[in-house]
Amino acid sequence: MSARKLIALWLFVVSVVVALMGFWAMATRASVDYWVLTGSLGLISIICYVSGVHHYLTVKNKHGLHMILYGAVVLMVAGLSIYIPKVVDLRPWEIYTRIPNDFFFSTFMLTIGILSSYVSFRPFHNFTKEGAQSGAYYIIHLSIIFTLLPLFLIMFNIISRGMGGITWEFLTEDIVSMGERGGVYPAIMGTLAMITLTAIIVLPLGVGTAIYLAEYARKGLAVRVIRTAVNILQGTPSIVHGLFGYAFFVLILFNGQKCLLAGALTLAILTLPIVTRSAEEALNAVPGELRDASLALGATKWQTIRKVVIPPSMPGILTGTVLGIGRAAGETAPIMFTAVYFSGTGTPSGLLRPIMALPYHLLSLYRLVGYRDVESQAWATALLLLIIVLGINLSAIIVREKYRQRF
Amino acid sequence: MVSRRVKDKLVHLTFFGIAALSVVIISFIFIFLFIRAYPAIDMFGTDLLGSEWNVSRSKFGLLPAMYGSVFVAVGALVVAVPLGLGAAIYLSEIAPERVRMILKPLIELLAGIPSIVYGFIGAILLGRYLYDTFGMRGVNSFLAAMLVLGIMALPIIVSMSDDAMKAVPKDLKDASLALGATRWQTIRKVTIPAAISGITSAVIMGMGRAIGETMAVMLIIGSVMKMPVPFFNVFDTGNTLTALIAVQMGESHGIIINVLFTAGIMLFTIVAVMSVISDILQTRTTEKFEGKR
Amino acid sequence: MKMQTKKQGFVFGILGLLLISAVFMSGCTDNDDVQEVSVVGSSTNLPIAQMAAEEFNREHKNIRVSVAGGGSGYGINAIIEGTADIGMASRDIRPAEIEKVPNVVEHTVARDGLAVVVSKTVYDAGVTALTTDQVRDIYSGAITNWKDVGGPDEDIYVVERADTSGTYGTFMELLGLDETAAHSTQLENSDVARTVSTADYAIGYVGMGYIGTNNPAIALDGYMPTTANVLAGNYPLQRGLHFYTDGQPTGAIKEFIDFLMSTRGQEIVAEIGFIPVSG
Repeated sequence: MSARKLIALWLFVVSVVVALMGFWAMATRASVDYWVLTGSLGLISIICYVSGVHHYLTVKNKHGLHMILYGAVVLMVAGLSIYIPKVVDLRPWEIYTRIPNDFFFSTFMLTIGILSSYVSFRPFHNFTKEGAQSGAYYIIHLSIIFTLLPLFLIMFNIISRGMGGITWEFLTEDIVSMGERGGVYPAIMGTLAMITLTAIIVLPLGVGTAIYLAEYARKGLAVRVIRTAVNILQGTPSIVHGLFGYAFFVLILFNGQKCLLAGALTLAILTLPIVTRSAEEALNAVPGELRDASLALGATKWQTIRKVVIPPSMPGILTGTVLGIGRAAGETAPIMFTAVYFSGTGTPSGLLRPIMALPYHLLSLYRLVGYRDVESQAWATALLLLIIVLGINLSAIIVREKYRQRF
Repeated sequence: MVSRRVKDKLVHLTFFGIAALSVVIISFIFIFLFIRAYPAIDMFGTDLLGSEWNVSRSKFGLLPAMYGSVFVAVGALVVAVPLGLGAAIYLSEIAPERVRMILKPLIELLAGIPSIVYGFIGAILLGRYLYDTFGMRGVNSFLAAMLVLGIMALPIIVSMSDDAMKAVPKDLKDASLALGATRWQTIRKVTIPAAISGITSAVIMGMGRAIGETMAVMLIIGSVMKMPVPFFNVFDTGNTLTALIAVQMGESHGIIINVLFTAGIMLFTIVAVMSVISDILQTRTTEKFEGKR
Repeated sequence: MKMQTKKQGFVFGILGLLLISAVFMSGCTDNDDVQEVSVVGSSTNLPIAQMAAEEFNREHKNIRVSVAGGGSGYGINAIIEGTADIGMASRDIRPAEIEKVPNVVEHTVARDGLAVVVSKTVYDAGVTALTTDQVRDIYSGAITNWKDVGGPDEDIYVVERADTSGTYGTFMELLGLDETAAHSTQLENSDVARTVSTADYAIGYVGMGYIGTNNPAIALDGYMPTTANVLAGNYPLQRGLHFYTDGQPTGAIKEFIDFLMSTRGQEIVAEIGFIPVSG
């Protein structure tokens, strides 16, 4: 390996270590010594300088100067950091914030660490376009890691904090003392009843819409309008669904009474576009030749759809429905004004009666956190909700992946 | 034979009826929101766009909440767009098929986490972390809301941009590679420009999600009906249209309910317009590449 | 073809199952043995109603009491519009409201002192008592730093209830304010309690049932919000917690109200931290 590559590798390793130290300090809010900052940034700067000089001596082009310049900038950041006061108090400027210099130090270490490891790819590939590519790929890999990081952080925290709270009693007992003791049985039953009912309502509507869009009319103004409506419905905020459910179902249809049916109808509207889209996709995946063959044999359009198109697309349709149900199970805003009452005991007792639901129970527990002993119950409820919702989603995704390559 | 054709016609009409239901629902949402909002619009008119909110003086200016909605959404995009684009490039252009098959469902799982869980974690863990780090007044802040919304907008931006880049024909990329460009140059100069309207549509949808998100924001933002001071202060507390509705709806009666429905109409209109724009952009991408298929 | 029939059978099986469960559930609707009592309104009264309903429902299999929040105004409005059986309010019903529901009957199940709570840090630093004037100045924005009231040199984080709540109305009325300089507005008593207990330099106000170790109450004009001080009328910020019905309650509604006023019901009131009115 050439000296140039070795120096670049050295820069990469040092920068990654500095970035990790910065990340660790940031995550744990550890105190960062000024000399640790200047030491690590200084080292990076020296390696950049060495790399630049080496390159300049061997190749004599402007890239070496760029490295030296970059090293100088890093050194300048390190040097200027001493002017950051122990606590940066922004209150005189009406911003109520006091940031300790540790925060800046760990941020500098993290960003300059990442930047320098990115820079190190250039000298490693002798400043060719491959160097630019490797550097870019490196940043892209980092961004996928940081995209998935929240998922793991959320999972880790909820599982580690909620695991202990999930017991048999938690799953089967009534809510006692506003959730301080007892379980969440009524909430589980409420959520299950609600999503079952939602599925029953939404399945024919979603599949019907999809059949019309995919089989009867692929073009034309009507289709354009319907498609736009489905898209708008998909983007509509869940709180707007809640408002509509309250204004229409609760106030007009059910005479001011919050109930299971009103909640399920609202959730059905919310999930309609999800079901429609997946069903349409599934129907479109059925090859046109099959339809033509059926029609040529003298079958009517409806017979063709019923006997030829729907059966093979059933897994896809069900997947979409299940995905929609997963979304419905976790929603709070649409049921807040339409279906839920605080209700200590009792499972759903009828379509026109209010219910308790898991996401709403989590909200009411959250409200009590801090001055009542509900935190472990809240974490357990969050974990249970997550297991239910992600379990539903995961089964849908697995089914979909399994049936994906059918045609 | 005739009865069979009549039956077929009837079936056709039934499906048209079901499909038209979406249009009916959209109009119903608008109509019923408007019916409930009208008394407030009638009584206060353009005062509803003002910046003062004081129930005891009957001042219902929604401007602070509108500003808050846009402010958090922009902040969320600052977090989500660079990360999401990077992740989408990875998934569509770099990742081996095997890795992609694992990562795509994982990102869908991220989208599946209920917003109340995001809010719970955001308020209890992230809010506390930011409070300890920045020495703010309380655990609620725009900053916390922006970070949480950024994470929540990520999956949409990733999967929609991924779809857009996947839709760019392989011939285009191959031509670029054959001319001696590296894969990165191809991504930068060919794939991204070709998919740009799809990517823009992804960003708009991500912003729509951030503006429309309710439960997470409600637990984090602080729900104070005033503008942040100064206007870019991410450490301040404030309100969004969604949080305003969610917080006050259960606590109110009379004219305030009508004001909240007005806020709902604003929200619905903003997000609907964004959906339509994003939709147009997306259709443009597919039409560009799939042509007259 | 055989494969397809099989799959179709499977699909219809699932659909059938869903339908059966739907029929089963709607079947329950017709079961009118269970009487439903709906209670909505003030979040201050909420824990009383909730805990009472938990016990009441366990003992009465034929009655289901459902409880929801919504605020005092919402509770009274529900009585006016007839959308709930019992409306809870943490303030007195106003004359204008009585006009709309002339037969309203007031059941006061508890008394409450409106406790001013502060963060534990502030309390430990010595702010354990304030005067009503000081509290008024803090909420109006005239005092912004704890050192002006004998605390640490830190800015005050002022937390209030949403201006639609009964507690907000009572508090502002008792202090004679019509606008505040609050930094945070919270939906319910519990939200105020949590906000104050998670911050270091905050002040807020809650019903007595919401005082906690991390959000301790302070003395007002020399009196702590205790049962004795409220009953003797010494504590300046106090009110009754009411359950309103349209006309004299009958049947299941009466049974629930009676339970609230019973020895056990009043024990629950005391357990939560409010002041019983009888027994």
